[in-house]
Amino acid sequence: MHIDEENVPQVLTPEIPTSDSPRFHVDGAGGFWLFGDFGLVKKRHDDGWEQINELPGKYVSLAIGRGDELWFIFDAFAGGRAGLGRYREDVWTPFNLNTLSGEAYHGAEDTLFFAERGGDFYIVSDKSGDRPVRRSAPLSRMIRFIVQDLMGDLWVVGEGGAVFRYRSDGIPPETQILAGSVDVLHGDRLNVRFEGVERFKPKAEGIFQFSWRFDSGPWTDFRMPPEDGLPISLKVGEHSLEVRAQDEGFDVDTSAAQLTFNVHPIPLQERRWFFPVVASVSVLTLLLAGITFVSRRRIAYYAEHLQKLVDERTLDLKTANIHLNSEIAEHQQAEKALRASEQNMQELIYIASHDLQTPIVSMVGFAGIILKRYTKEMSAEGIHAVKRIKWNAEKMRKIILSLLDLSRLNTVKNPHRTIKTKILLEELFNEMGLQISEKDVAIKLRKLPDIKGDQTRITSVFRNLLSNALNYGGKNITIGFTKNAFYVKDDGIGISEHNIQKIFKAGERLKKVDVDGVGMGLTFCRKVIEQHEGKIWAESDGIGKGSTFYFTVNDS
Amino acid sequence: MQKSKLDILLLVEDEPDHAHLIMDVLTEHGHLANQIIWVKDGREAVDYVLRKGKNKGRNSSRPGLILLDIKMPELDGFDVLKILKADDDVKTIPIVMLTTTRNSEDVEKALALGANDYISKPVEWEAFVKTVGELGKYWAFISDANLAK
Repeated sequence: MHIDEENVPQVLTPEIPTSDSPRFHVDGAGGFWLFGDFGLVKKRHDDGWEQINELPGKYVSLAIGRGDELWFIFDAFAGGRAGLGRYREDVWTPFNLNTLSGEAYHGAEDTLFFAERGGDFYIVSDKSGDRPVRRSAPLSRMIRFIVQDLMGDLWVVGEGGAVFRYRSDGIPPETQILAGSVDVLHGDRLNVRFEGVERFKPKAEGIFQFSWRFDSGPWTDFRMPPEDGLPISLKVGEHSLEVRAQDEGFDVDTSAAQLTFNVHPIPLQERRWFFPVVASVSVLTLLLAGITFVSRRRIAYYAEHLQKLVDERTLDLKTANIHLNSEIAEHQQAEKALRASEQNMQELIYIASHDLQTPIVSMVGFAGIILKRYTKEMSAEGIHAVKRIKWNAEKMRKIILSLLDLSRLNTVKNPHRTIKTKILLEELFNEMGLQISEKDVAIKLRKLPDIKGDQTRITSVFRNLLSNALNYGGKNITIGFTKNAFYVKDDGIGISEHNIQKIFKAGERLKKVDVDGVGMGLTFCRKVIEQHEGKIWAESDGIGKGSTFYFTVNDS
Repeated sequence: MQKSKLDILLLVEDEPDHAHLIMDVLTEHGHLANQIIWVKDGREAVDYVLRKGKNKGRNSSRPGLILLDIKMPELDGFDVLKILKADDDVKTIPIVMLTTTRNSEDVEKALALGANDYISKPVEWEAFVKTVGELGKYWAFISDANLAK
């Protein structure tokens, strides 16, 4: 790679002041100018930099050269004044004009244009003399740009598309309104101004110099253009305005200039009713706020009132609560007493049953001895009497045992374990072997599932059901399991429909038959099964048709 | 060789009628024991077995089986059970509890305290004798086995 050493930029740091924030430069007006912040200007001479600080304004936003002049715009900044300034032959001259938009344009033949924010502009040319000449734009709008064509005509393009031409050849050149279009807002006052009319020699009284028409309507003559322009109120839509000069011996271009308008609806906030409506809404809002405030006060009052009521009720409630607590304490006391008395009752039943057993055991025992050893010495009636004593004593023993079982159901809870039902029943058959063999019955044991429960009590349930089946005349007994229920089925005396509901109540006995049964057995069974979260029920096809007792456990 | 007959059977029973009936049936089936000793309460039972009080210096051999009633005044069956099973010399003597009720808690308590078995007080005398006979033989055998050690 070849490097042309001569064209490599040289580092000029020692010569170029960089510490003063140079913002832009201008090449012209006899030098190379560097503009920095706060009005700092440096001029490059052949032998170095010259610092020039004595500017009329402080903050130069734009500078443009014109021949040996330097024109610049300075903003109102840091206490300085805004305007247009000129540097010529070591002299700074400020022109305190209106605020400029900061735009400058070169025209033909060293003409400069400086646009103003309001739509006017300044021309700096040979013709303008020693100071810039102000020109009013046809529309009070921001100038977008100004150009001068080759023929010397000046084209001013405003915001929204308006084009205004200043003719350079016509006399007077600035009276012409050229075809163009502009967007205006509905209700805008359209000021069409005529520049240069002062050059016209006023005509004799009553002779009109100009005519204008709107939307191709009739021409209206007027003598002098009004200073504020033509007041035209436009409706939304497209319109046209034509103006022509009347040539009465003057060399005036009488062709009409036309300007078209596109009138847009006024934005909401600029409509006439906007502020009244906004004001009304505001007033209404204030009113509402006021009402709300009043409502709040009212609500606050109600809230306070409510709080009072709540407090009162709370007090009532507290009082009630105190009463309730004392009642609860009383109830607890009563319950405690009840439990104690229940406990006493249980103990009483236990002692009674035990103490009652003692003589019964003796009665049965001695009756047994009599029947075993002394029947020869006794009459048939005597033997019968002793048998009855023994039988009744045994029955009494059973009643007492049942009572005891029932009374202990609620107070004594045994842990639930897995029960091997089949083994349980086989053991039960052994235990009841004598009873079974006496009755001469056939017992079938079907397949049974293991369950969880209180083994002692489940045994008692089976014992009771089996005992019932034996006592109520069954000759064939089946024990099995079907549809989640255990069953003990017999072909004994059966149960009538009327009785089937009553049998599980304490002390009910179906029939006063002379059997070894105790009515409390089924009540005991029901309670045990209920404690095992199950159900117990009986089914029978009627008297003489046998019965089946079912029970379930752990339904939940 | 196993013994089939107990030398001494100790009956602890506060109820004279029951004692009478039990001894009657045991005597009737005389093959169970050579001698049946009846004591009327728990205190006497302990004294007899441990050779205390009026039984101090008793020469007879110790009982081969004890039939012990549960519900007795003063020292009841459980108390006697505790005392005897805590004594190393006599704890091997089999003790069979006599219950009046079918109260499973009593039975469980007795077994937990070291009772070797239990039987319900007789209503069915044949069954009672059969049970005592079987238990007696069994415990006599166990007892001999222990003494032989």
